[in-house]
Amino acid sequence: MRGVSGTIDLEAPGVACGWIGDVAMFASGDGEVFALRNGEAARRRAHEGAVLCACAHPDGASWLTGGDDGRVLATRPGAAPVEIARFAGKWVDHLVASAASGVIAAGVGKTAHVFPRGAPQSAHAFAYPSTIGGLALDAKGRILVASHYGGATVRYALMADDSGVTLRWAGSHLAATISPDGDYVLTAMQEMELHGWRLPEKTDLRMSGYAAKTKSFSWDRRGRWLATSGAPCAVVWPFVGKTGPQNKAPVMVAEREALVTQVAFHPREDRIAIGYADGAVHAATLDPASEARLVAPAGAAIAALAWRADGAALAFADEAGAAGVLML
Amino acid sequence: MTAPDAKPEQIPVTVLTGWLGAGKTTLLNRILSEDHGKRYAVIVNEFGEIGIDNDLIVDADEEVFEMNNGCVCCTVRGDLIRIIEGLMRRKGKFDAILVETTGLAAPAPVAQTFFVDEAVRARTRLDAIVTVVDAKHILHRLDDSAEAQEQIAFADVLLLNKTDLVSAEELAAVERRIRAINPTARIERTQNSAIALDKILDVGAFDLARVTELEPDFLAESGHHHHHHDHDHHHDHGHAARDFGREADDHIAAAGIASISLRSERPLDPQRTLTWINRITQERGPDILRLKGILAFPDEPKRFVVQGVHMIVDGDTQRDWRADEPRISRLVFIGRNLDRAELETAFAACAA
Repeated sequence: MRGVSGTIDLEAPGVACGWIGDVAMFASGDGEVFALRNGEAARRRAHEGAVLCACAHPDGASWLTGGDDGRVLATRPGAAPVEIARFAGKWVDHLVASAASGVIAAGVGKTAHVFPRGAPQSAHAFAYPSTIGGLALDAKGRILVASHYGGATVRYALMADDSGVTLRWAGSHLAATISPDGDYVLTAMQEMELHGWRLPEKTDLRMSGYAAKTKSFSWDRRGRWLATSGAPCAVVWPFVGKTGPQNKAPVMVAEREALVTQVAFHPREDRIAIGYADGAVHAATLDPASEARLVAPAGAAIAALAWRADGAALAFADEAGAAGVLML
Repeated sequence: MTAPDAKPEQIPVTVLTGWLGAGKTTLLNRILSEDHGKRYAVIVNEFGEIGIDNDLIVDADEEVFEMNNGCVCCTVRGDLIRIIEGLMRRKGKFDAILVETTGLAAPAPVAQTFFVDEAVRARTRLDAIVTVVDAKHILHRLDDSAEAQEQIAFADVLLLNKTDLVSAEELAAVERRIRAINPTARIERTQNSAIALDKILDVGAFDLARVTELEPDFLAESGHHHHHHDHDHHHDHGHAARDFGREADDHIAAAGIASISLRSERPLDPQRTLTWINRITQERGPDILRLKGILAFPDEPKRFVVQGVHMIVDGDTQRDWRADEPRISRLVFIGRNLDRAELETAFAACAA
């Protein structure tokens, strides 16, 4: 750790963070968006209520936020937010986007609204049998996974009439992810375990032993390891070989007393940033002896972690509103 | 249901149930408009259809999810879990949560959400289930609606509303009927849902330390007394008395919810008693809606209190038995298809 280049008080629970070039972006439960550049923060009122989700816009120049005011906004660093969509009386629970395909998908209740590249408004919407628990896009941004009660549905994001492939497993499926190559879909379940399917065979995978619901998934840059939150260590599952994590033990990294709430693989190296429920942030490789503390525990759970594209800086935000950037 | 320790940061949640037209929305508006200095987040169904004036209103979908954990009666409200998680992003903007359910909703999934989901449990505590009952129409509702029965069965506080629309005799009959379903809830007679808010808010109904303060009604009920109520009821309402019977082939009895109050003047063997309570709630969890008890164990100066919702049971020692207090153990089951003889025999066998 070389030092903290800037810390800010969001004055409300931190919800999300990300990067637009070398500007760190933060969103708060008070509906504000902060752009932090060289230690200088520009603060903008964005949503009328809380921000619920955020991700980088496919154009790479703005940051998308979804709120409990039913709006999707795009904010350029230092500029006023621009409304992309409004779903009156609803919550925008999930946002995913892909620079590769230009697709943006917003999860609103039981519906995923899809915005193709450059489209000013949603071109089509996919309906699901119950409220969407999580959304994910593959590395090419073509395949859209939505989890829901009783399983998950896989569709081609841009194919408006795609009835989709249904992956079934009893129970409530929440946060979702798809491997970068599109071979595996995984969901976090209400029962505090992961369920997975290998495609196209739909072979079931069950990964249990968590102490909390998994909220955070992160794939390493080669798509061979999946780091997950929900245990007192980062639980990292191997996805090499034909059968993925089936009958294999995960690597358990940086075990502490506090639960891991956020994980983020480094974009260029075999390193993971790990955020805990007590506010600590550690960095580790898959070698447990490598662990190093980046941020001392301040008490409130880490709500978001995001590496800058070059991997030289890490943004973080906690549930008490402490946020900042570490230069590494 | 391991003891949800009353952590100061846990936001209290009050659940309002009751049939459409009973006065639930009037009560909700009273809570919101009174000058108490508290800010509420309100979770309602179809808020566009009822007039509520509040800064923070969230529309719920009443999505009931089965848990895939082998517990057959374990259902939760998936939408509530999601909404509460979302509301926590607004932490500091509200002091308490009110959840209004539709008249057709079963209360169990709502209650269980606050014990089953770890994240919800860490951040909120269920304060009480308040059921608003229309004194004029409730008897008819009870005859044809399982949900209406469950809303009474699950209540910690029963607002017997619209008492001005019924005679004293009718009111007494209604009270007897709801007492037969739920002997532990506190009944408040109201008109136009007018009630002092400290009677329904911050009740601590699921706080084991406060379980016994619900006792006055508890004490009034005991085994034979109860039969007497049923008998009275027979005169008032013909066939309805069979609601409390044990005839398994009777469809009314099968749908009917009743309560069974057990008492023992002999101290109970702790091991045997708790093993039995655990076993019966696992085996009969779907039929046991709620359970409450105050138990006396030999050589234990403290009262042991227990309570449960379906299969979720929580128990702990509480305050000392007072010197002037008879060490009588009491256990109340509220549920369906409960066999009084079986429960009495098993309870008697728990004596030390």
